[in-house]
Amino acid sequence: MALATALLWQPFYVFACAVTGAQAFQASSPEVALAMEQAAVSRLGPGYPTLPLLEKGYRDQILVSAPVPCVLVKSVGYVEGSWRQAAGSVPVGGAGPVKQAASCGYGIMQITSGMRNPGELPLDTQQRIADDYRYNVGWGAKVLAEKWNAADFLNAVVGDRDPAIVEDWYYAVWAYNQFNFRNNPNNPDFPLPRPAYDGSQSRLNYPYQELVWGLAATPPKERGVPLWEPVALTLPDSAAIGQTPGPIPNPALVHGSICRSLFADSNEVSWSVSASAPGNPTATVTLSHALGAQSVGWTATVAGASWLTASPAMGTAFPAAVTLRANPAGLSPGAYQATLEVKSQDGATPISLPVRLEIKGTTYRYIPFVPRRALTVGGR
Amino acid sequence: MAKQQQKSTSAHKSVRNRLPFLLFLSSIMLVVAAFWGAPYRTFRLNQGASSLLSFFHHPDAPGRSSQFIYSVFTPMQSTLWLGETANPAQKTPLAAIVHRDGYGPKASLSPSGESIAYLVLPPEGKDPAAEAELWLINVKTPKPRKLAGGFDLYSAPVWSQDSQSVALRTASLASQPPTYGLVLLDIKTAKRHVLVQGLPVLGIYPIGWTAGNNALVYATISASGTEFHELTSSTGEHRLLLSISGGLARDFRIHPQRQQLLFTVYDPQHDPLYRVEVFDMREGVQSSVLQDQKAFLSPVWKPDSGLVTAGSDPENGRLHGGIASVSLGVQSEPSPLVSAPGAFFAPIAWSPSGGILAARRFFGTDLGHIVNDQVMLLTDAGKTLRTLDGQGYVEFVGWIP
Repeated sequence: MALATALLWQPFYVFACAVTGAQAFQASSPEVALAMEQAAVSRLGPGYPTLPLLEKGYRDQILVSAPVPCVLVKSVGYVEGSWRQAAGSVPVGGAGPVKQAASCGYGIMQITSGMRNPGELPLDTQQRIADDYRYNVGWGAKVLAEKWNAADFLNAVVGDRDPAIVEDWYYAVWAYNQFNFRNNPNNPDFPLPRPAYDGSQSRLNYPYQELVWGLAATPPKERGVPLWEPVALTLPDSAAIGQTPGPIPNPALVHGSICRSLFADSNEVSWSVSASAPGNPTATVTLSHALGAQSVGWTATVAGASWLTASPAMGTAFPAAVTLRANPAGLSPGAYQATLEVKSQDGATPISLPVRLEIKGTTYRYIPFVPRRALTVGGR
Repeated sequence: MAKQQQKSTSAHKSVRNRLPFLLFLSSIMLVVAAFWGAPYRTFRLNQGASSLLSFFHHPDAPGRSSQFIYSVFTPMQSTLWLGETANPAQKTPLAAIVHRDGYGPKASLSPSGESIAYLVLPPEGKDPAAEAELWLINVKTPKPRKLAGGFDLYSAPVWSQDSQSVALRTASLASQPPTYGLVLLDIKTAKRHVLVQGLPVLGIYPIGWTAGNNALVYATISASGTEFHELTSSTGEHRLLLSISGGLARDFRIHPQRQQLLFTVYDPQHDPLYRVEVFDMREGVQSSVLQDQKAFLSPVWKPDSGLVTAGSDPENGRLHGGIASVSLGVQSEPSPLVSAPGAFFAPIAWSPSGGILAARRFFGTDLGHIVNDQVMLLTDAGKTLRTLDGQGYVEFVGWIP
């Protein structure tokens, strides 16, 4: 009877995607990488998507301010859209039609939810998902975080459900694509056993989350250089998953992944002073850590200039404030540049903050001398 | 008496004169018999003679080479090749298949060995579950012909026994819950016949056709377990063959004589967890061939032998990572074919004569830690004939009968 009912049931779908005719900037890989690193720690800036608080724990949950593992954002972005916001024919640095799938997936992260019909999300949100690669990446990281928070409703939990452990995101990554049997590692469609995916095999042999795990460990290369630092993630024991996902133990070996954990509250500092009265311009840069208040040692040094000082030159915790002070005395009018470098002892990617100083000299009005003869038109 | 002796002497002379010819004739007969395989059945030979004969009899011997089809995947394009067991250099490209980045073709060789049907997602294709195209090529005159589109790329075409039609899977993954269907396609007319439509199961897997090409056997997986069904295409009648409650079956193979099914089962509710099972579709009898706490890999039928050949997890207590054959219906110990330290194996298919096994060798410590793999051809004595090399990822498609 069930079979007969099923045979009579005929699905009917009409897809009308939310945004048509969107033009997107084709960002370079370093630009995309930076956006992903910022998105993973909710630091894309004002007007961009932010991450929700993440649940931690299974039966006794708490909410924590935690990043999405950076390597997952990067690997998902490559599996989904090959780090390209616009169609493949659009060159890097150019603009062209957004990369769009038949399922209404848009851009680098192939955002589908809320993109099938105009107005499913606010219209300006839909537009920005389609035409702004940074917004697209930020939205993708947010969706991944939401999948993390939703997974426990289905008892799809790995280990103690700690968002700092990349391997615990296995079900969230599965859900980013399709949380159904199609991506079950025990689906007979996939050969068993199978080597780890490294980009050299057909994707047909792997569930979605194994594609992401595989590229995390074997990043694609651009001009011979890997797009990110490899992280050899461990897959769970597929036998523990069975047909229907449920709680499974952590693998024996687990990893963390934060690509960028140090942030300054501005991208650069610049002053413009008069040579006649330069004074001592100052600016305060606030330093913060992606994991919030952290007792981590740090140093702040100035490179390339004797006219600039940073104080204090070191500290023991984040957040912190560093005051930059310029001393233009003795400098000729012109443009000067230096760099503030901040390093933390936890090995995070250092901050290199450009500092610019322009000294304006006395202005003279230049009136060119033109011989009267030269103004004669025609003849010799 | 003297006359008789003379006659006898004359006969001796006659035999002696003809001796070289008789020796030549008998050696020819011996060779011919060896090629026919008769010595195995009629004579008992010493070791040396046996080796000599097995050399001539072996499918890989000169003049007895077997042919097979394999594919080599690269991200943007894959190639189908016709290979020869005897001569690795003898390989013929049959089709260069351009496809969407990362998604290789799924190919099947017809039972006649004349045609290859393959599914491919074209470069502009976006949905592998719904937009795969079916193409056909003849092995002898390989000119690809597109037949139809709209199929699920993840399920290879399943040929009918008469090589006249293929069963294909369709999928609607956007529906809630996802649904699947099966379609029968006539390869001459490209006419479709819907066999199953909109089935809300976790997965559906076409396996093969029963004797006489009457019914398609397929498996479904649901939250409650695995079921095997038989669908008579002419009447549309479905019949439940077997239900494995709670078990997750895979590696489905129908016997060349179309009366038995072979598969592996992972059953978390039973001890031991893993089984290799055979189901007799005529008798309705299910039997376990192998059981262990660790996995068996990709069991295959060995032609005309009553044997099943399976690979194994390195920690499998019965096969220890190697390949072994086991008799059906007899409580016998598995007969090891091949094993190697630091590697384990999964069979793919025996050649039609049962002389060569295509298998995949995995280098690694266990199923979760595989560093490399390759397709290789093994003799029925477990010796490596060769590995299949290519500028890409190699997958074995089938043996030419």
